[in-house]
Amino acid sequence: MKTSTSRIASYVTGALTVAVAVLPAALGPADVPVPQHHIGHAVLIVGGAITGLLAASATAPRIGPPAAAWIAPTVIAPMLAMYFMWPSALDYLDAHPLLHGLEHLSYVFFGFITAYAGQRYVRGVGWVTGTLLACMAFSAAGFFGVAPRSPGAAQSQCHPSPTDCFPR
Amino acid sequence: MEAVAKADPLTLHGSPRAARRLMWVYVDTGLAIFAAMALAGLAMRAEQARAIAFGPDVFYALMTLHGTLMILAVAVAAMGILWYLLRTEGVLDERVAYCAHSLMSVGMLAVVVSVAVGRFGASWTYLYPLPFVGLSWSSWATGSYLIGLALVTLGFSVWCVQVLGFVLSKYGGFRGAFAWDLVFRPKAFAASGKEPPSLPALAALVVSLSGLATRADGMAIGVPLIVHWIDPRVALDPLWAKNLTYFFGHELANLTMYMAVAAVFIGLPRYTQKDLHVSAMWVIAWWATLIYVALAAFHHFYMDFVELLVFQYIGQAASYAEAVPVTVVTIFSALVLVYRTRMRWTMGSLFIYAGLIGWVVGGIGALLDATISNNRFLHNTLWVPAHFHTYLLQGVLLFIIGWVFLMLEERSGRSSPPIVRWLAGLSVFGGAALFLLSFFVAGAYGVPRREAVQPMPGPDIAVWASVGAALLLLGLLVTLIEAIRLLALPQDGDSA
Repeated sequence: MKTSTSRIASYVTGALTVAVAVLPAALGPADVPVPQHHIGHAVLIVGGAITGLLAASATAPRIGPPAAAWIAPTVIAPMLAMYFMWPSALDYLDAHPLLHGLEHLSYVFFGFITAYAGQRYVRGVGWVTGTLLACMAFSAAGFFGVAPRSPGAAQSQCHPSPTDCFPR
Repeated sequence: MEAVAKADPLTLHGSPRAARRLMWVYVDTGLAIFAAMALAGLAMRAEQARAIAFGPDVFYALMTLHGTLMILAVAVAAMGILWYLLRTEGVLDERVAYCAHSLMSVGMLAVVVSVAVGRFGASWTYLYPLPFVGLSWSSWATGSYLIGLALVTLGFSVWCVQVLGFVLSKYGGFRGAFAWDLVFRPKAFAASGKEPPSLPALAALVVSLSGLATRADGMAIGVPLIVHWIDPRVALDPLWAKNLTYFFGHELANLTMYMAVAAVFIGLPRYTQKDLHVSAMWVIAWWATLIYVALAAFHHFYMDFVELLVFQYIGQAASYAEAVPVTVVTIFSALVLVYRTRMRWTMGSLFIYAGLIGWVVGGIGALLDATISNNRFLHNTLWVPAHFHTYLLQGVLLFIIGWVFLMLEERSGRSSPPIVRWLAGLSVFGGAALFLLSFFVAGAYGVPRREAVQPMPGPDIAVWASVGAALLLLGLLVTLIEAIRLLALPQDGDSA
């Protein structure tokens, strides 16, 4: 893909993803189940990552020694993205559309940084890190804050005072 | 003491001294942790044999520490060796590798604090919700353990990104690094004059890709566990948590082997004076390894009746398929290398070659357990630690020790006298055989794993295991003394 085409494509993808991300701010309070939240976040991450890949193909040098500084954002951004998916904060965010929109923008940002920084380090790395971040985000929909009512889940609620549930 | 025939010294890009120093930092860290954890392992077997008594709480804390750090110890040492081998092909920034090492070291220290001070004892598997409901450790110990593992994962991912970036930039992206043209357009590839990726580069590619997937999986479960630790309102699905945790452990354990086997690819040809060429078969074998190792993780799903049935079929089929690239390509190639050559049997070649045997035996043990009809009887018995102790202790560890001796022998231009080889060989291999056989026999009898107090015949068999472990440690002590002796010899003039 030509550099100019990549640049335009990155602008278009980025604008679309950001538009989807700020929808909650426009639509107002909503009550969305946690798994749907996670899937929505994963979609935003994918949009951010695609934008990052396109932006990198327009700006990253094809040859040259790897720039070590890009490793840090490549490995840290996915971890931060997972922390931002904190499920118990979702109810509060649902009730505050502006914050909800900002939270969504953070997923776009993390997706973008993970893929872009990886590509800037060495072409190809961003594809791997971006794809894996998307997988992490989608997997969260299966279990992160969405446990079925089971004996195990009930016991876990006893933390941090397990003795409340299990007398010595 | 015998003079060794000279192989051409390994040519290192950048500063050879800096590259060697970095490799030794990784290898020494790994072997030091290994030694400490081996003592912990001996103590556990002695407790099970009722030779000593420190109680279940200490046992489970020791088991957690041993299980976590043993796998990380061999991983760190193997990472150093693979990184060093890549430096023979181009420059990798040492600062990045030191950063990875530091993150992993701090993480492992947090694990030690969690267990040694906080008595965390939920096992390396930290199966949700156990870390949060244990009665013998505090909440902070759980946090320290989880944060420690997160730092280890972060450090490992730094290393993986660096290694992946190196291979991709050296061989021209994924197409070149996967040697696509060598397999599908061999004539055009030969005409192009390009070199296929070296065997260490293929290993590095597969390990870094699998490693990043492992890291993503580890983060996908690690972050929610830390979130739950901070905010107990956030519940997790235990089955999902278990699946992700076991994929993480399964991949990491396998990756240690595929990192360390790079030492075989470079080490064995140096002893046999024969070259090991990369062919399309080698390349396909590594592609298969990348896929099958991940799919074989489904054999950890067998006992969960609520999982999809198809996972069980995939798990068994992939477990068998995973053995093909290893046995048919790696082991067969190694045998061909050694067959009818004037093999120099030194400490280095002895350990590397014996490591191949341990890899196969441990692999067969794994296959037997991964067969569903057998797994009904062997699941969660001592058969499981039997197979992974075999390929780690008599496979990965021996590759690492073999590589250490190769470096020391080439540095000094000398090898060990036969009496030392016999002494170290008999005690290391004999002790390990007794130790590992005890695990297998107890597993076949159905003695459960992860139990401080075992039913009979567990305690009786644990006596033999303790004797074997003590003999093995004695052999490793002899090996260490011999390594120090070789290190103390003056450096040979033109060796690497």
